[in-house]
Amino acid sequence: MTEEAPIITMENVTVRYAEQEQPALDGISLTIPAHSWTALIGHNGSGKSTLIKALDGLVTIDGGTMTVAGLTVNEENIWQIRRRLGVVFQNPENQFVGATVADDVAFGLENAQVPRPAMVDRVAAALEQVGMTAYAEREPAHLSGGQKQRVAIAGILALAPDIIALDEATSMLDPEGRASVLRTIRTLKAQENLTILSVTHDLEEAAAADHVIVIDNGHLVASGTPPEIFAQGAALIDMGLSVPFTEQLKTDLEAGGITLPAGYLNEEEMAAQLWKLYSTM
Amino acid sequence: MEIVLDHVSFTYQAGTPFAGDGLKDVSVTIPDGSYTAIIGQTGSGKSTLLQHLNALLKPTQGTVRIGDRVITPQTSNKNLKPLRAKVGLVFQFAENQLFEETVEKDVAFGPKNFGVPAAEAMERAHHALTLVGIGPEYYQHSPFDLSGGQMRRVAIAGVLAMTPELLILDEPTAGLDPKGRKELMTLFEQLHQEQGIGIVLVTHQMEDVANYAEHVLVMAGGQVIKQGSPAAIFADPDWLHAHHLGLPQAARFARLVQAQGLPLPAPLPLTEKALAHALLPLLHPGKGQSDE
Repeated sequence: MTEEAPIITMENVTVRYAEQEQPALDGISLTIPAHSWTALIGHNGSGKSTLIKALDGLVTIDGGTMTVAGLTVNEENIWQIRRRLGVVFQNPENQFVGATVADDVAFGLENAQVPRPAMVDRVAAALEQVGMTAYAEREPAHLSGGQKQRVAIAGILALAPDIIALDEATSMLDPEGRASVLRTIRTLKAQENLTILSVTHDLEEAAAADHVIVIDNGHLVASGTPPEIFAQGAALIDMGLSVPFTEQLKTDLEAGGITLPAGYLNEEEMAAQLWKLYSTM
Repeated sequence: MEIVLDHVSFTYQAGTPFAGDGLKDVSVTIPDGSYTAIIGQTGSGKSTLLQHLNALLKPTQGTVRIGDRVITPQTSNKNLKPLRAKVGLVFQFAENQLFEETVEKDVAFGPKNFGVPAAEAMERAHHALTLVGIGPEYYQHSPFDLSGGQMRRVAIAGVLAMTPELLILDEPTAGLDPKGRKELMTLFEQLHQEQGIGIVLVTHQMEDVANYAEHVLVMAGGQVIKQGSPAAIFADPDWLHAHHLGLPQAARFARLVQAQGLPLPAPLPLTEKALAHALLPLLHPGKGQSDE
């Protein structure tokens, strides 16, 4: 993959919440390449969600600078930035305003003062893209968690963003709901050439990303490809995280005297290595 | 304390046009002191079943026996309180129910509400907070100043302060980071092993089922469609798939290496440790076999 120009930059960004001694973000600098899928991992309270909220102007920063899609994040640009960067939050129950699914998707467009005929088309197109056309006239309350999150994604898509940020958007869903949302995002990313920034505890999702950024106590502690990050197993566990399944298995097999190649192996690579060891014995 | 559901059906909003089936003719036994997992898709009736285990819901038909109390459709709502002290229910995202000014007051609220004298309720609160790993330095904090994982533990302490004999957990680790998840699951395992508290766990995490449960109920469409040990439930991957349920990751990976030709012996390993244990002799015959 050729390195794209950054679509998000953060330079020495600090956020302090009132009544908390330690800053939630403590001088974070990072860049996120356009059209990448970047997974942001870290334990609960590490500052991941604050980072997303800072980018979207939902918390004010106490120091540093940020850009999103070439625009400096400040009061003047924030509404433009929110059209470029859409956020899907954790709790599907908390993000509905419309009486019907279609109304809900239209809400962002109304805010952006899109004329009605264009709005109707864009709502229909966005619902089509997330596979929710059949539900356009339903009440959001009656949808499953996965369906609700797909409607929330449609609301963002209708604004034709460059970036979708997922703030643990699948963590309250059952495995099927989670899979349906991730599938939807993967397809959209390819179709719309989006950049995805996903805050997640799902290590299998992170392992499938292009880049992984690790945040700990408001600091950026590691940034790299999944193999680079997951090869540092012990350090991740020390930070309250975990390692993908294959990395745990590798540790146990090595403890049992088996030699496996250095570096992170995904499931297919691990299975192939095990077969190789077995068949050449 | 044993719980027996005998031909239990439950209809939501019975007698109205909005009536909907919650449970259909469910007969199951939750043995005294067991660790039971309930799995099934969203909407399969898991939460409805849970709420029958401490009489938050009463059956529309059939009976529920909780210890020596029998709950029927006619049972009055009076005098159910002692039951709810014995069967502690931890709801999903339990931290949403915190409300007091300080951590210790929040945890002591339950026992106080059940008539335990204030001093003893506070003592129980401190004990419960110790169990969940919240130290004295947090007792005077507002629960709302804690991290998500800590708030969850305070909420669970509130249930433990009632000294329940059975703890019912509805997806207790949802939304927590891997460390928080591991700590909570270890806590429940300790309560089960060391204090003999029965556990009923509703989960989507098949790894937790494989690692901790002794008994598994599979629900679909308001019915218990299968029950057995984790090994028995996970022995039929095609059946699970047909019911929108998965295998633990170790079992899934074991099937992948089997498909490549590695002769992993049956039964399918369900945990990562069991998988490593089964793989070692195959990869390292001389040493592995003599050592095992």
